[in-house]
Amino acid sequence: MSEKKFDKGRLLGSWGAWAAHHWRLCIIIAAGITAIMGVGVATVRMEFSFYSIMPENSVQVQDMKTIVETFPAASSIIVVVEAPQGPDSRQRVTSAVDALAEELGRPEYSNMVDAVQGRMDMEYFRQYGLMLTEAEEIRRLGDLSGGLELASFFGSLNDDLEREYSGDEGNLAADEQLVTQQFESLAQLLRLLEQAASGTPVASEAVATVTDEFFLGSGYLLNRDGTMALLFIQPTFTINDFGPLMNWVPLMDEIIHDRAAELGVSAELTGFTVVGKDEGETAEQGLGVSSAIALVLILTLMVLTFRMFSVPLITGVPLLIGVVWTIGVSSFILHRLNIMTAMYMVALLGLGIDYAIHLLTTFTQERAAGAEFADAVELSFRKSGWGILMGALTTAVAFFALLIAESDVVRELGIVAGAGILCELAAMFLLVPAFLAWRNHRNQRRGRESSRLFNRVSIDSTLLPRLGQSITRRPLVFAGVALAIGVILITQAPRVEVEGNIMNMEAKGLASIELQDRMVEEFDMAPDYLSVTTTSLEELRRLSDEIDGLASVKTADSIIPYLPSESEIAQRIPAIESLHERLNQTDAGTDVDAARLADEIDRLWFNVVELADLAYLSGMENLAATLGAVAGMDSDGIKIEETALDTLPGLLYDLSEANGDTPVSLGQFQLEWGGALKSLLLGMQTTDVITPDMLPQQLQDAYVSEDGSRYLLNAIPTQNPWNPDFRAIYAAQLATVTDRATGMLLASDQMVQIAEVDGVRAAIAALIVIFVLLFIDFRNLKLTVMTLLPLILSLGSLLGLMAIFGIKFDFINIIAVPLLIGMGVDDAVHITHRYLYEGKGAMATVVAKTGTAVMLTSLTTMIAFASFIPSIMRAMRSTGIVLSIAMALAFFFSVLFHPAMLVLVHEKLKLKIAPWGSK
Amino acid sequence: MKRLTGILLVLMIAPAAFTVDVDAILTEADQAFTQGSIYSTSDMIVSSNGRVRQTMSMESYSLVTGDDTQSLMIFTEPRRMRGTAYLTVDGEIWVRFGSTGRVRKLRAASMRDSAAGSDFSYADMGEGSAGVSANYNARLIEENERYVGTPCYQVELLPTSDDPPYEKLVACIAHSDNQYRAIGYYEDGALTKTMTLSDYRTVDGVDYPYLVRMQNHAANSQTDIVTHQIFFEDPRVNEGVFTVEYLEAME
Repeated sequence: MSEKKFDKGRLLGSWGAWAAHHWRLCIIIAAGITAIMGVGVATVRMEFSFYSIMPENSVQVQDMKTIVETFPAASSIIVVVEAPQGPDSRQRVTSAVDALAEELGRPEYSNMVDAVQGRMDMEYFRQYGLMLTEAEEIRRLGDLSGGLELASFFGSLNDDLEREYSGDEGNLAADEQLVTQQFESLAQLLRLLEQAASGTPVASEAVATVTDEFFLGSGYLLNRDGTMALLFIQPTFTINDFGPLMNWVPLMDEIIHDRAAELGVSAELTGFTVVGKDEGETAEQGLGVSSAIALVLILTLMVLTFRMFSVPLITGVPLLIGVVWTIGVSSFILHRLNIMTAMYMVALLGLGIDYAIHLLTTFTQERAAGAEFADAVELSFRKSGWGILMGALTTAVAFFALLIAESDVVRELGIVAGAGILCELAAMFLLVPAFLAWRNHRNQRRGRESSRLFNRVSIDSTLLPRLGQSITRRPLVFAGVALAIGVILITQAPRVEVEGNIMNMEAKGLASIELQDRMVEEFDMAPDYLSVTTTSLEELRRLSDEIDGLASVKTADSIIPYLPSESEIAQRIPAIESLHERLNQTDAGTDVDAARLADEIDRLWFNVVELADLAYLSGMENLAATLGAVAGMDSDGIKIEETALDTLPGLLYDLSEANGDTPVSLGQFQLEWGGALKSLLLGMQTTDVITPDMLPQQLQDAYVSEDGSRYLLNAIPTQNPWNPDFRAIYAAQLATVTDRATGMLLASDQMVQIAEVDGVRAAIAALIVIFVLLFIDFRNLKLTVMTLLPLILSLGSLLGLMAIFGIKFDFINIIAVPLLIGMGVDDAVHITHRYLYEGKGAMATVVAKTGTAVMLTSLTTMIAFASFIPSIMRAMRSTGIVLSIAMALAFFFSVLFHPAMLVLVHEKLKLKIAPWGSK
Repeated sequence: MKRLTGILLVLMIAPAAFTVDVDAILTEADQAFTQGSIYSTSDMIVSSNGRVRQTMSMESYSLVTGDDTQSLMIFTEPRRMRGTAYLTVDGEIWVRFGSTGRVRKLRAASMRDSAAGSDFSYADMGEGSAGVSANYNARLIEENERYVGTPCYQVELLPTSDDPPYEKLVACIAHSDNQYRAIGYYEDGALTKTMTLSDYRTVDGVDYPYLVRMQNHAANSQTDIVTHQIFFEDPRVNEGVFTVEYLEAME
């Protein structure tokens, strides 16, 4: 039975003897290869963002990449500026936005900052404001400014409020931010009016400012209570430019933090680009920590097990050299490492060491049995070499089978993982005998015939020999219990879930992630959304109309609101001309109809209070508070103070009863205010057809591609779209309008889907390949199936345990499936080989000898995988947990179930497991 | 031959005999909402993002006359909303503000708009009074669906009007009592709202859900209407209540 195997073993034994004999040459060869691979290591790109692993063949991902690369503002970094709550919050936050915009706009930052947008370009609106206003609104503006008298203005304002918002909180909610800002301006206008009515003159600038703000707004993007504002930085790089991304985003962060601290506000960065940088940063940190933990623990375990202080040299150096070779090969083939392949490098520490463990275990056992050094090396290769080689080849081929995958990321993993196994195997076969010989040479030179340490070597434990004996005595019990556990766990497997929220895979506590929820709460604006591009303005208009009407969409952001259609222009131009005609025929005067004005202010009180009630009813707390402040009421609607709305009517009635003896300051106020309003509205005189190239640069950067050929529409959702339940609604509704919506949301969904499909496809392919390889090796169907069975049980049980413990699959930890298939079979292969070598009745020896090595290799592999668990990135942590469980299961079924099955089948049922054709 | 004919007859009749009469089930399910007149007191609890935003108490009056449904909802708590009332009559909506005492007719609101800041739309409220299935064609999708463990008929309701507030409704009606347990509201290809009806109690021979919850999936909010008392054919409900004059005379 073992004649053929013996030949194979002898071949490998000869290699071991040769390598030990020519150890210097082996070290030189390894150094030469390492030098060549070092070039690859030096030039490899580290791309650790999730964006970098999105499936290239997906239409959504291609569209998303087109958006990132062709729309200048698509990579914008969002700065959330926040001032402590207080009476001057708004002032502080807007000043800080201006100061930060000025700071980042300095020439020394031009290499990393293309543009900074702190507030909207109001000049454009001063010119085109009326063309952007609906005809009906323009006519109302005519009423509002009618006669340029305060009484007419407030009368029309009351009509507007009663017409527009009366009882319609839905309409109010849609405009909440705008309405809040407008009522703040109104409160200021009332205060100035009160001042004027009391006989104190009001400065012209104050009147002009309040008029501007009432009609145009401040231009800042503020939250509801004015304590937060947004600033947009358009970087010179995109998320694709990994170097600038990793260096310049932290630099911007530092500049912004320092400047914000000087200004007495806080500022945090978020947005797609910043999240990409954070992913890279946390992945790098995680990988660094994991590598260090894995290496230290593995080598410590090796020292303790083999009781050799030179083990870190004998096994650690080849291990690291194997990793260097793998990175080099990956670099030459793929030019990069992504987050999955980089994680695999840490896993490789646990895999590569296995080959050294098998070799050293046999070597130390032979030495303990009295073999000379050279014989011990040869025997270690002869006895363990074929098992190692077959285990490595099956694992590598299983990994290479991932090349049939649809997604680049899985194919890359296949190449790197397969190459990694072969590199580690080569490094171990080349260097372990060489380093052992070097060590032996040093010992001999020092006059030590044999190592005293080796004399004390004993890696045998009593546990595994006893286990081996128990399995031999009661194979049915062991096989039955293990099988029952496997079957029970497998029944739970269908309940395993897939992670739908990519944010749950990121590091916890990242400002860029936490701000996403805050932006939804404070600005009704999620930083992640779905987008669609089109080359046709008509198509864009249709999309805008239809998407705006979806329940899950807050607003459809594009150039459409700034680009009136032909029919809108046809309606607006006459309305603008009529308004201008009226304004040109009217001049602001100093005659104030105090009684009518008093009536209208009185009426305004009613409208403000009713609007406050509606805002309260609809949960618009900040608007309710703003309106309450205008009317002097607290949050319960109880009157707590007098405001201009209360005092003005009395003041004005008194003035009207004084027979026209109004103070000069009130007349002057009306004159100033009327003049400012007239000037503002007449300034909006342009009635040209607006084309995209006439829009302010900041709007063009956001919504028009660099070459002007495509237009972008962002469907801003009503909630944080990373919530999977909401995302399903949002994506489904958008799909009724367009099949071209894209964004990280859909790309990550595709990633999960492709990973699932690829996972299953790769698993099947790997199983087939492993089956064929084992079949060729064993040339016995029963033995092949029996050797595969522990792997299948492990895989099913892993899914079952994940379901039981609520661990979800994501597109990172799904790496566990191919890794388990590639590596999980090794343990059973080693046991099968040793059983074939030792023969019938020797299962106790097999479990005692090979089981020890298998236990050690499983431990080192688990250490490597578990080293991901302390990582701050949750995707890495989850991968660590899943892979550790996977390896524990593979060990469990390989050491308990598989030997019991071999004994049952071969010794109890007397079925043949020898290769076909053998005697 | 006779035997064969008998078997064939049984085979032909059997499906018909066991065919579920969806219309009859819906009529029974709608019974709680189509009573001639209803007076009730209840709490309306509105939550957003898992946080209770408002808890309001109200008195509700509704009267069905022919095809018309009139309703009046008067808030009694909290203090701020006391006396605020919504009147729906002849398809028009009037609101009385408790804080100012003014009565205003709402501008032509869309039936999809939120009613009184809740997750119920005017369409939901209107449909409730006329019976959920009033403006829909029904089709049984699944005879043995389970809703929270309760065996249900799953019925799809497709709108009969040209401009319906919803694309479709999918109702789960319990086998045990033919009462609604849940109704899913679909807009633009997605389930955007779900109404669940529970705590059924029998009042004057009518099973009425004392807890009605509307979950708005698009806004991550929900509104519970918890009924405290309900009276059918109550003398407090009369034509005079459903007038603008009544609102104006309110104190």
